[in-house]
Amino acid sequence: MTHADPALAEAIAAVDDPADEVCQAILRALNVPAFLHRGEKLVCCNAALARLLGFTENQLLAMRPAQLVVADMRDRMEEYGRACLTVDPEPAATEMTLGTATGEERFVELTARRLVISGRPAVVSTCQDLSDIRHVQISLLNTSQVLNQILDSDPVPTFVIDAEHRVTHWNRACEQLTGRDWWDMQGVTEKGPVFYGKDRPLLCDLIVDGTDAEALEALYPGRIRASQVSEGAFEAEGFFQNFGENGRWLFFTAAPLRGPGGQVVGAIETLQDVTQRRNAEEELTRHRNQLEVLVEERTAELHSTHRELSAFMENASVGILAVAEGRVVRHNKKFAQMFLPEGQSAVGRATADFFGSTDEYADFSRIAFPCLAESRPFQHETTLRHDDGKRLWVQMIGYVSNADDPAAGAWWLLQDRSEFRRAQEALESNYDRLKETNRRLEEAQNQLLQSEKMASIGQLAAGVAHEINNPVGFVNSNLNSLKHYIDDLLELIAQYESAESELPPQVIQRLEATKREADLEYMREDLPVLLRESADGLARVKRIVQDLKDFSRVDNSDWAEADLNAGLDSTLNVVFNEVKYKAEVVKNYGALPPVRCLMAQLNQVFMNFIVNAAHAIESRGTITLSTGLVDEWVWVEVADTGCGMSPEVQHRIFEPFFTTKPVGKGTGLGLSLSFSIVQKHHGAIRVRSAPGEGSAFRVWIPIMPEGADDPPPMPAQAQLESRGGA
Amino acid sequence: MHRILLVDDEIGVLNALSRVLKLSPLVVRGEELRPRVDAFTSPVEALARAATTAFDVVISDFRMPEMDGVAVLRRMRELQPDCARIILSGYTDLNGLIAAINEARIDRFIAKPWSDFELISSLSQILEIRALRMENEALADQVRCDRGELSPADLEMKRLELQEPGITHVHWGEDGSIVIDMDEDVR
Repeated sequence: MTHADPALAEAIAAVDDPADEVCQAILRALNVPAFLHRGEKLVCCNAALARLLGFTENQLLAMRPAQLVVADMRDRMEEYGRACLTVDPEPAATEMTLGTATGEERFVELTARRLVISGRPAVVSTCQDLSDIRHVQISLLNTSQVLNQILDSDPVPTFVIDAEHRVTHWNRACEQLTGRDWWDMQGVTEKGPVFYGKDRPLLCDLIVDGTDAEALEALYPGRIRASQVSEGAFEAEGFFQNFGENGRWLFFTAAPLRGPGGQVVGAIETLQDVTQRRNAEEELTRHRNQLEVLVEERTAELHSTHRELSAFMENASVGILAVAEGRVVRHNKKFAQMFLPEGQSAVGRATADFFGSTDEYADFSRIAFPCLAESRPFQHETTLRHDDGKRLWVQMIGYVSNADDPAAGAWWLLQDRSEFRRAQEALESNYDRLKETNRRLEEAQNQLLQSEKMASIGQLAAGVAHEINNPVGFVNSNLNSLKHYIDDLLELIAQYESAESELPPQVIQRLEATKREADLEYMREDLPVLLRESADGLARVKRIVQDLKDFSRVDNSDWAEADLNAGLDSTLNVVFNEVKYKAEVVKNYGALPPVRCLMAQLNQVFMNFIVNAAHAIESRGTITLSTGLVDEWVWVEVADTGCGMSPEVQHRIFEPFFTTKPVGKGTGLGLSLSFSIVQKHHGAIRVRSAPGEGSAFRVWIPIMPEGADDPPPMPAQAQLESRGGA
Repeated sequence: MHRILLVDDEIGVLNALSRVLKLSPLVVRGEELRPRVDAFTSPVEALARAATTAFDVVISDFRMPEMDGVAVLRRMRELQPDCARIILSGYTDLNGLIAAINEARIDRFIAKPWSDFELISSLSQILEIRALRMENEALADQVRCDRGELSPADLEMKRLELQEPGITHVHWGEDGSIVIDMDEDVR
């Protein structure tokens, strides 16, 4: 406290009285920086001031109050001190900046009060150090700014209201979201229109009002819940049509702001845009729903397919069988029909049951399982067994249920092919019969060809025979006449010879010479031989012609029962001349019943065989004549030890005009004729022959009663022997 | 005098037959006969001869160029019913054989080549039977004549006809002339 009047101030300072001393003591006892002055230098100061300014008390007592402040404030300080001493009422407290010993500044609120001590005015000034408060204030300000910045830069739209529901903060994100500026919203209480297009409280309003949880639930049914993060906060989600192009989904959280006493002073609400998430969720939901629909559809489809499959299986016309580990897992109706008695099921039974035997099952397994093990379908036909033992021919098609796991079992399709098989077998047997028939037809055709050949040959032969018969007829006759003539001539010559002696010698001589020249003696001997040989030759011609004629003879009605042994004997007699020089004849006759036949023709057959046998023997051999009876067939065999025949020759011996004999010895008609004769008897000729081992011709003749059309069945023996034509 | 007519288109056959007949006498009723043989290769010529000459036996081939044996013998039967008929052939079908028997009424069928002995035997037999038949007929006629059933003139005509076939018939031409050309007569 200073006085403008320096004289006064000096006067005061000069006063040294006890009141002054008390005053100074009180001052020193104060804990706030204080000093006393009378407008001049400091009269007194305390330790607190010294601490504040870093000066000693003595230094301070040497200073004027104006010297305590910073330079630019000294005038104001001087003025203030004077005013305090003189002006009534004293001025209000003022802020001053003090300077410390180290040059720092101290903000203080300076309060000066006028004292009158012992009648002398003095100013006591106390300093309230404002530096800390100021610091706190600046800090607060800074904090507030930081908070504002934090809020503003928060990407989450956020706004704050105070207890009176006025908007105190509205951050930038909020501006962007709502399209409303902070300036528009500052202090606004009715925020409903911004969000809902109408006035209604927001969640933060309700928080500020202290609305309880039940009430909130009523306002946001099913959507509100207490925040897990901050106490007293609530959160909810809602769709706000006004925001964005198509509205926004916001997840909003409102939290109370509480004062120092815990009372609610406002609320902060954050608005999280969850549209994307929500859309994603919705998309997800939609997708899930679609999926569910799809799954349902698929399931329905599966069910339907399953049903169809079951129906198909049940109604299938083939037996269907599911097998696993050798046992029936499932089968359809058709299978039951095929293999089971009425109303029975095979489920659980061993599949081997349906095979004829365990061996058959083993055989089947051996071929089927390797195929199935490789997941290849297996197809097979085999016989299976109905439960009642009946055999079925079944076509089986098997494939594994799961290609990745061949052990999982197999499906089998079984089709009863018994009828098919029977038909096939019938077909095969028919085919065989047809083949046999065809073979017989071919044979018959060959025989027919042979017969036709023979028939035409017969016609030819008949014509030839007639033409030949004429010359043969007269030559034969002439030979007889010639023989007569010659006999007569020779007789005549004999007569002449006997009369020779009566002739004159020269005539006799002449006659002798002529006789020698003619070799009469030889002529006489040779003429009969010549004639006989000519007759033989002619006989041969006659036989050839006779063969030809017989050959051409179509029917001969001389059927009669005859003894073939006797026939064979008489034939042998006829041809014995040809045989006797070549072979020894062995007879080995069996007992034969009378056989109805054309004996003359059969004799011709036997004759052919015997003559051929004789011709086959080059120098000397044996001809064996055998006969026998087998069942209802008789046989006559002529066997020789001659040269035999090659298979090629055997093949052709029944062809007309085929002969192996030298020209003039055979006509090639003998066996051919024999063939047709035996054929007429429904018989057969069998030939056994090998080159160098001789030949055996055996004629088989059936014993047929008169009027019978078909011969009795041929004995197996006759069939087994090598075929030789007929 | 016994006469035999031979007809065959093959001269060799005719010659051979002639020789046999010349060499081997026929024996009829224990009597050896050596008949005279007339041989023709042409059936027409043979029939022409037959129209004027009586034969005891005719032997004909079956197949000949001009006419077949059945036709020759049929005609011979008309000309000389009492002449025995023989076919000597190497070939005959059944129809030909039937015709020979039924139409030509043949006495024998001898197959070529023939056996001389068989031929001579057959001829002897046939002549013997023929002689018997003719003797029967002559005797019967004689009886008829005796009984007055047959005039001596008729008997004489029969005898003449036997010796000279056709002599008892006159063949009138259309213009009233008497036809004596035998060729025409054959047809």
